[in-house]
Amino acid sequence: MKTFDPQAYQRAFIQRTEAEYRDAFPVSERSFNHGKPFFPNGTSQFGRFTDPFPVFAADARGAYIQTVDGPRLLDLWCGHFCMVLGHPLESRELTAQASTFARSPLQLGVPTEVESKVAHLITSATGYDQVVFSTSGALASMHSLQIAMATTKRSKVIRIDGGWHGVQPWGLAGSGSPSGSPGIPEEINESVYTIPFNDVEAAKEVFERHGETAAACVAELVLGNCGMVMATREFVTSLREQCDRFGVLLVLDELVTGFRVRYGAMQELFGVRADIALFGKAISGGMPFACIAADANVFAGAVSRQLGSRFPADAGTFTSHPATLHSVHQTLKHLRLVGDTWYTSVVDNAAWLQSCIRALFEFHGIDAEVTGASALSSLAAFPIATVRFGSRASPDRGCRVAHWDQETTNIQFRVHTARQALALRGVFAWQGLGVVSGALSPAHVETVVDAYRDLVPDLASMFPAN
Amino acid sequence: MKGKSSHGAVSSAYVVIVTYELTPGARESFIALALAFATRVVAEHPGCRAYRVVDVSDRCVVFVEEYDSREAHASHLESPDLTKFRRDRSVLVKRHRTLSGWSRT
Repeated sequence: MKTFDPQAYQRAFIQRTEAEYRDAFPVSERSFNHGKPFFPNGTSQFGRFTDPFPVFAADARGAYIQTVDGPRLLDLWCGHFCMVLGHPLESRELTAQASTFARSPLQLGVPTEVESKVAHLITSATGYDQVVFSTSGALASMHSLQIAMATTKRSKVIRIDGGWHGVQPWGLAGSGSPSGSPGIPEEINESVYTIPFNDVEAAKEVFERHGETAAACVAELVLGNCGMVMATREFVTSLREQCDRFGVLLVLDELVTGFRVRYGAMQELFGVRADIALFGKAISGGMPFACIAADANVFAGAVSRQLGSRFPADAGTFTSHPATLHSVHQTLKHLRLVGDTWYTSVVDNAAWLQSCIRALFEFHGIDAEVTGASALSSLAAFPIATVRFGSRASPDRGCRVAHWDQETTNIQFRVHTARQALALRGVFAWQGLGVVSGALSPAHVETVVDAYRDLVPDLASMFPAN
Repeated sequence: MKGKSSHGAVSSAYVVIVTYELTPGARESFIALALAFATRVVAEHPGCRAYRVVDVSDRCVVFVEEYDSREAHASHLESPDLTKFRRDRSVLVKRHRTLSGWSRT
């Protein structure tokens, strides 16, 4: 008698899904093949690649992206998690945003009034004295560490295993991320020490050994590159205590978490205040924006307009670009206006969606794990999540291993096949699920659950829970 | 494109997913109540194939219910059992949300 082979079923499913995906998105495939020879990775941004080719977009409105092939897909990627309100031109406020942007001058190279308006809104919401604007999260995180080095007169960095702080030397050194760290000078690789995520005892040991030479400890409240796993309050509190003990500046990279679950920094929910905080995506309105926030005394030790004497973190041709700042200003005003009610509704929808998918997996006996769970009693869920297929849960595995080790979870299926299978069901997902934006209505949640309901018989055959 | 139309497979079930957001401290009482109710539904409600109580987090419990038909679910909704369950659960539940539709099996 022939026994059922989940691996064989999986191979057939992958083959069938890829064939259907090619049939459904032929224009995207042609566009990808046209551009492929021009880029070293075959695509202009490696994070946007899906095997065998990514879907190409022609436009985006509200909760949907419009593909070049015709079908519109419910967008759970939201432009690298930036479009928290959904895509423009769906609501009156966002139309105003788009029109303000359209009227905005382009590069002027002289100050504009909107800069102080944006700075005022960010400092009022976060409680920091000052901000330094930047054009990307990677630059902001690199500059924040250089500010810490200039302030403390130290040169080492402590970071969290599996954390993501952009493509910059200290962001990649010791990151253990799939992109690795070749190209990073050896002295930088050797100056970065890592702490296992949510491990309070290990954090104490690392600080004991390196705390006196470390300028900064950089951490995220939700480990984005490892599938949106939330730090515990104990871990974040312990980082704060160790930083205070050794005179290390705590840098909280809130590029993903800031203004996402409340109007302001997420760190307030943990009862912790970083010396330096980074914000960007959720308030960007989809424009290239990030900022470093800190109190005046932190910046005073590092940033100066006198080039050569201090670190010029606020330099850069496109820093404080008027069109970008208009977009940020409109987004901040909108988020402030809609306030707690809006944030509660987004978080509730996320908790609802994640619970439904978890329950479907449990009901159908599928070995898959939905991330995004909250570690805080005051928050129902984090509004970004992934699905780890074939997760082989083990309580003692590290967060990075759980997410990126092919031995413990099926990365290929999560990153590529799940995206294809969900796109065929009208959902543009990120790593099996993605972002709940303000544009996502209960009906949209139902669309995602429907897509999974259609997939569960196949998933149960491929990833049976034992 | 796939979608709801593909649910009309040879073998299908009408699936209802009810998500209960619990009041603080109500988890154990609610689960005990839910499990007893689920056992009764599967044994006594015609057309109910499965009725699973899934404990997804401290504050949330999800029912996944599978029926032969929409009519079987409608009949479940009219049952005195459900009326009593609704009454008993009222102090334990902050709110609930329901999704339903056809599923391949």
